[in-house]
Formats: sequence, structure tokens, C-alpha cells
Amino acid sequence: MSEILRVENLVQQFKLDKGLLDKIHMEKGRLVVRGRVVQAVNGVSFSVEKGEAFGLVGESGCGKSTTARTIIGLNKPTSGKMYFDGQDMTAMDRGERHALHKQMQMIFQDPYASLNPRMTVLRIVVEPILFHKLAKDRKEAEEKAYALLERVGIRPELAVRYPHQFSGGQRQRIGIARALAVNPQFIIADEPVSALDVSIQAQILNLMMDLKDEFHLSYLFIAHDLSVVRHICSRLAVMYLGRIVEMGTREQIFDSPAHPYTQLLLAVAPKLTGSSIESYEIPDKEMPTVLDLPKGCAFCNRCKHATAKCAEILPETKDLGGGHMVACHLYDEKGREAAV
Amino acid sequence: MANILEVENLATYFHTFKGVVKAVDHISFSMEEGEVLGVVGESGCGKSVTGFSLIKLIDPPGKIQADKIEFDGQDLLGKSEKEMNKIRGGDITMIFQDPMTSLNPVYTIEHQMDEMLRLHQPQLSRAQRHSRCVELLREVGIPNAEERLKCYPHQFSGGMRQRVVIAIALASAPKLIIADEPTTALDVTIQAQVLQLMKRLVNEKGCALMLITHDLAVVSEITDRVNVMYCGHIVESGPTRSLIDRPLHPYTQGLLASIPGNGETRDDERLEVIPGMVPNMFDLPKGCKFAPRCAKCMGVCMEVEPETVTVSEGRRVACHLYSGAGKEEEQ
Amino acid sequence: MTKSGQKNRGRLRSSQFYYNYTHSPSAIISTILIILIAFLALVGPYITPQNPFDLSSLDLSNAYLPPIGSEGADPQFILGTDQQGRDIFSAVVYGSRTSLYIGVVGVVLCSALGIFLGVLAGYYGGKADSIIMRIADIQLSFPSILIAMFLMSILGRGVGNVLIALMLVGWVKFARTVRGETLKIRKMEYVDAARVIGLPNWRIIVQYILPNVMTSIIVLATMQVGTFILLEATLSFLGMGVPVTEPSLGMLCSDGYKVLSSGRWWVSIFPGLYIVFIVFAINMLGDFLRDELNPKLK
Repeated sequence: MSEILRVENLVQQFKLDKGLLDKIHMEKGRLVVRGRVVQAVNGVSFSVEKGEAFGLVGESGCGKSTTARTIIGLNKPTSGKMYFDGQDMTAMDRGERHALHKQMQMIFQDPYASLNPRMTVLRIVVEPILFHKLAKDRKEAEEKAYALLERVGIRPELAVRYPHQFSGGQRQRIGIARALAVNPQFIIADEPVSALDVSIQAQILNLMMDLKDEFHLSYLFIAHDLSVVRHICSRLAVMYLGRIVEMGTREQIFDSPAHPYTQLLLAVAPKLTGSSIESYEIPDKEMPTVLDLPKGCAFCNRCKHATAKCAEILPETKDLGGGHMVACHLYDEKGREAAV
Repeated sequence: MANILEVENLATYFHTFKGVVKAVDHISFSMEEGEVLGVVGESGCGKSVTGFSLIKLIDPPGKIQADKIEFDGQDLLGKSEKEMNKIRGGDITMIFQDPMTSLNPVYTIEHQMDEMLRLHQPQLSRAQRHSRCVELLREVGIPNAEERLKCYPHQFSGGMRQRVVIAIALASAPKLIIADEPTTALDVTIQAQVLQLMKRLVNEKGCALMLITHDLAVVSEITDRVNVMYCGHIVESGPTRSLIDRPLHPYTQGLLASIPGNGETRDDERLEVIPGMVPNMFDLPKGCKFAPRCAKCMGVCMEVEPETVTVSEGRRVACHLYSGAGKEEEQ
Repeated sequence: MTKSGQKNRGRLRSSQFYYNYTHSPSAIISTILIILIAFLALVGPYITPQNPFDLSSLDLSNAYLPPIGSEGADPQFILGTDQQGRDIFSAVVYGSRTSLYIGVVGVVLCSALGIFLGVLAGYYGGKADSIIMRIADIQLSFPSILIAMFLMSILGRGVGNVLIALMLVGWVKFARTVRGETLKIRKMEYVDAARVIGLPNWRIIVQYILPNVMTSIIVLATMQVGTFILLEATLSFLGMGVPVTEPSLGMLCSDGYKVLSSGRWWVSIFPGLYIVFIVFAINMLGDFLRDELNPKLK
């Protein structure tokens, strides 16, 4: 198997204060000129194998969606390298970029905002086919669109309707059909089921798994819901404040989580077995803001194992064996639990 | 234990230009003092409307009808709007999904808490009210309560804001709190904190909590009893543990089975799903509302709306599989 | 009717908008009034008793006849005549043609300019945005009538010049609204989806942004027609608007104004009342559209 996507040391920052006037702040009774910077993604590296579903999990503000948007080209990365199928995406010219749009597509989170309300469903799916000249005329494009819509579970006679006439689940199906319209190899799904009802969630997840095999797709699956990621992804990375804190296979992460943050996430997720939250000791502190990241480990203020070292030095990523990576001072270079 | 709330045949209909939406259609349930009741269902099932109907906060074209809404021995149906205003925010308080919209951004937290106390506990002096505010913030786990009182809502993070909302909801020492998706907008770790907090406070104060949510896992974490709703009906109700472990209604069964990691499905396999989707509220099926999606649908299900029957201790279900008519047909 | 046309009509019929429209007396009344006004302006030359600006058809002996109902009225001139024996009714109908033309064409021109600059500022942001919006801010700090008068004093009288002045006065409102809406729509996921497909910016603007800002534009444009008719009337009343050869309602008011105090009220009052009538009907419809289509513009 080979890699379809490789991300190396991706950094994404946003300037919050654009104009000069916005940059003037009061600090300790003095006026200073300083632009605030949102450090959304701070050196993220991972790779996705062909035919694999790779998950990126974390709470809001951890940078998982920003990472996805940077990879798909909606943001320009501040620094770092991205390779798609071996090609350097940061050094592409216009033509190569254009071709890349055919190979990489995205499924969005909010089915109520991701379809143009002024276009019929048919046109929404036909548009990318025609634009990338994947059909010789409009008629062939429409036939293709009908077939795709039928495949994702939208009856062809409904294709002349507008998005507002569909339910959330149906709209997400339409969004999937649009993504598939250009025959991509790789799909980034940004929280594709989080806005849907439970029973509809299962339908969409099933559809996505079926399509993966049928169209030989690879997924980068972004979610905050661990049970969803566990179900669909064979490998995943846990993000916290713009960094990957732990990465590994499904079994490694869920059966033997190494990072204290992963352990916390798994412990506090509500479970059907009940009463697990009630007794668990949850750190009272909240996340630092992305405007002012701590020097050391970003999780140290909430971590029960935190030491003085954690607040000072950023932990390196260590291999615990079998591709199980963790960024925590609890583990030494050889991946053993360090004596703290 | 005595019942704090008794609802009989509550029906809330919305008369719109397209027709009548039966958002809540003749439901009956009760809550005991200090009980945590979960109301669970998918969007559009009428769970939120149920909450709003209890305190008569339904705007036209909505209309509330009921045989009985009795709260703490008082008949809420006969109360005037003025009397209801005293009860809302007094004996019954609400917590909403989005803490940012339920707090007024132009006033400090203290101002908003003080207002509640002035309205519902007029006997307190200014100084007493202030110390009560500090006490309330401490109770919901906000550090530096004294200083934080002077802050505005935007100076709090999402989780902290929801704590403030809970503190305000507790200010009047209510007998019932209606919480509508209180943790849906929050992250997992923050959600856990808020759920822990709510459970602890309800236990300490002995007030009842009605938790409206779509999340069955949240329900099983903190509720004592559950009502499962579908298309405006309570299809199943019972003690939480027993209902989650042995669901009776095909809808509840399907809902539980479709949660990843639950049911029979292993990772990477297709999930069990409930086929189809929630019917159009303008055009509901004649018999059981779930019949068109139900794997165990029988002839009678399409024709006759099932009665709610008591199956065992506290377990009630509205399904022909458990009623006389259905059993006969099965044979 | 074509198949798709029927489908669209069915869609309209079942919409909330259609329901609210048919259940709002003010919306229906204002539509009827506007249709009447437009009809009168269109067929004006065929139904009026005379062409009031064809000097050969005027008879000075008919000067200052009062409207019917008053003493000495001539039933031929229902609203009376002015100093040249011109029929006021005919003059009002002809004047409304000029006023409506300026109002409607002015709005079309200035919305085009406003939409262009607004989309430019909202979609691309950066320097273009700063420059356009600063100009808009400066312009908004002057009363619009002052700017219009200033422009007219440079350009001179004339229908075309009035249109240019109105365009330069009115674009700000459109640009600001369109910019705001564009900023909002730009963040929608369907625009992201279009970018992920690789569509070029101009196609995203034409197919994704503009159709979705259209409702706000329609609301604003409707209200603006009324504003422009009033603005033009003010200019013409002050003698800085349309030329005497193509009089508008405002100009007729100004003509009769000189004899208002001498008891010949009808010459000025009837054109004035008609302006009020037109603007009222347009604003009533505009209010309804605003409440229905874009409550945020309030």
C-alpha cells in the first residue's frame, strides 16, 4: 500500500488584526502595536494510506477542521509541506491545482449550509461534472448525475427540486453525490454526521463505508464523536490545541490510550452503560486559548500527571511501537514510561 | 414519593397555513419529586415543545390543550399569564441549549442573578442577595466567584456560561428544572463537567430535572427514567437502566442499535439502521406513526394507533406487539 | 405555459411567501396601486385629453380654470388648468412618466454600481474593501440632497444628468448591503464547496453569491424607487433637476408654487399629492417585502 496524502509539519496561523488601528492594544497601562495571531495548527504531521479511512479527532478549537481546510486548499498554509500522491501540493502550478480538484473532494458538516439554495439538486451535481469536462455534453452529465443521486439514495424524480425541500439526511446524501461527481480518489469529510439525528447518522455512515469500497476511496474523517471515528476509521490521530498528541491504530488508541488527554476524552464520553461520568474526576480547568498558547505541553494545566517540565518544554513525539505515536513527557525516547 | 408533575393528555398543535402540525399529540406522564426524567427523541419528535408546553410558553399559531397539567398540587392550565410568570423562573426554571442567547450580553452576571432573586425572593436584602449570588456561583464551581460576578457573559467560555445559566436557574430554589439540550453545544470534556454538576445539584437540592436531549448516552448517564418520543407521541417510557438494556418498542430498539459501538455491529461493519426517515408532520400515517419504518410492522399497525400499555413495573410502551390486538394477529 | 413554468408556479403557490402575500391587505392594495400608477403612466398619451407639452394644443383663454366641483370649472379639465391653459390632469400623468422613469432607471443604474462595488469589497476584501468602504463612509456623512445638488450644479439640468447624480448618490446603500451579505455568504459551506470543485471566482460570484443576495437587493431597490422619486422631485422643485421640456411631478409642483398663495392651489397641490400617492404605494410594498424577505434590513 502507498500513501495518498502526507502532511509534514503543517502550520496554519491567522492574523486577527489586519489594519494598523486594530493592532493597537493596551497592555499593562501602555499602548503597544502588536497584531494578535491565532495559532490554529502548530506543526501537524501525518499520512493517509490509499484505501484507508484516517480519523482526526478532538474538541472544538483543536484545529482539526482548519487542518482539513488547509489540505483541500481553502486556506494557504503558513508553513509546512503537503504531498498528494507523491506530488508536492505547495509547489503546484495552476494546471496541476485544477487537476487536483478532481482527485480530492470534501463533504461538509452542515447539510443546511453546504448546498446552494438557488440551484436545483440536479444542477448542484451536474455543475462539477461539466466544469471538469467529465462528460461530453450536458445530457451525458445529467445522466451521470442521476445515476450518482440514485446511488446515494435520492430518487431521480426528486432531482429537479431545490435543497430546502429535503431533510438534513437527504441533503447530506446530495452533498456526497456532489463530492463523488468528479470521480475523486480522496475525500475529506468534515464532521459529516454531527448535524444529523442518530438514526440518520447510521444511514450516512453506512453509505460512506459502502462508497469507500465501491469507488476505491480514501477518507480523511474529521469528527469530535469518538464512537463514530472508532467505527469508520482504522487509524486516527487525536488533536489538542493545534497539535497531534497521539496517533495510532483504532486498537492502540481505544484499547490502550497513552496520552492523558486521550484517556480523559475516552473516560468522559457519555456511554450507554451509564454512570461512568458521575464518578470520574474531571479536571476543572479549561483549554488555554489559541491566541496565547503555553510554552510547554498545551494540556499541562489540565493534566493530573503534569510536572514542572511539562509547563516548560514541549514534548517530542515518541514511538511506542507499531506506529503508536504519543507526544507526552510520561514516555521516554524509547517509548517506555519514563520515571517522572 | 409524591408526584411533582402530572400531565394528562397534553396536546400542542400548531395551526399553520399548510395544515395542522400535531407537535405533541396527547401524551401523559408524571414526574416524582427529585426525579431526573429524560425526554429523548430525534429532531421534530416534539420533545422541546413538550417542555415549553408545560410552562405554557407556546406562541401562536401553537395551541396547548390538556386534561391536566398539575404541578406541585396546582393546576397550571387554569393559571393566568401573570400567575404563570411567577411560576416560570420561580418554581419551574429552564436551561437552554445555547448559553449565549439565554444570557443578556449587556448586563453583568450579578445584575442578571440579582434580578432573578429580586423577583422571586423579594424578602432578601441587597446584601443578602449579593452573598446569595456568590454562594450560587461557588456551588456551580466557578472559581473567584466574587470577581466573576462583575463580568459580562462574553468574558466566560461556553462551559462556564452554561454554569452561570445553571446558577441562575437555581437562584429561585425551583422544584423543577426543564433543561433543553443543555450540553449539546459543549465539548465532550466540558459536557461531562456540566452533567456531573447538574446531577450533583439536583441530588443536593432535591429538585426534579427534566432533561430534554437527543443523546441516549447522556440519558443513560444521568437520568432515572426516560420517555422516548416519536412524532409527538411517547412510544416508550420506563426506568432508564431497564429501558436501555431491554428496549421494547421497535423504534427504541432501532435507535439503540444504530449507535456505533452499541448493538451487534463490530467496527468497520455496516451499522444496523432504521430505514427511511421521519414522516412529514403534515402528513402523518394513520395508525402507528412508526409503522412505515418498522421491521415488525403488522396489518393492524397501519390502521390503528396503538394504546399505551403497562408491560411490567414502570415500563410502558405504545406498540401493538404488546397489546391485545397485536398479540392476536401474531397468533 | 412550459412545463418548468408550471412547476415554478406550483412552487410559488405552496410557499410561505405566497400565503403571506395573499393574506396581507397592505401588500395587495399596494400592488394594485402600483399597477394602476404604472398603467396610467404607460397609456397616458392615449387617454389624456391633451398633450400638455405640445404648446399648439394649449389655449391661453383656459388659463387658471379651477378643478371640477369649484365655481367656474370646465368639465373638460377635471383637475383644472395652469397659467397657460394646460390641463393639470394631463400634466400630472405626463409628469408621472418622467418621475417613474427616473425612479426606476435610476435604481437600476445605481444598484448595478452598488452591487459591483459591494461584491468587490465583500468577496475580495483587503485594499479594495478598505477604499470602497471609506469612500462610502465619507459620502454617508453628507446629506444626499447636498451631494445631488452639488453634482447637478456641475452637470447641469437634464434627465440623463439627474440619473447620473442619483446613481452617484444611491450606490452607497446598495454597496453596503451587498458587501454585508457577501461577507456572510462567502463563509457558507456551499461557497467552500464551489471552491473545492475549483470554480473560478467570477463563477462563484455569479452563480453562488449574486443569486443569494438578490432578495436583499429587491427589497432595497423597491424602497429606493420611492426615495429617488422624492429626491428628483426635490431637485426639480429647486430648479436643478429635469429641463422644462420634460417636466416631472416635482417640476409641476414648483411651477404652481408661485401661485399657491393667490388661491390657485390646484396647480401645485395635485402633482404634490400624486407624488405622495406613488411613494406611499411603493413604500407599502417595500415594507411588506422587507418583512418577508429580509427582516434584518429593518
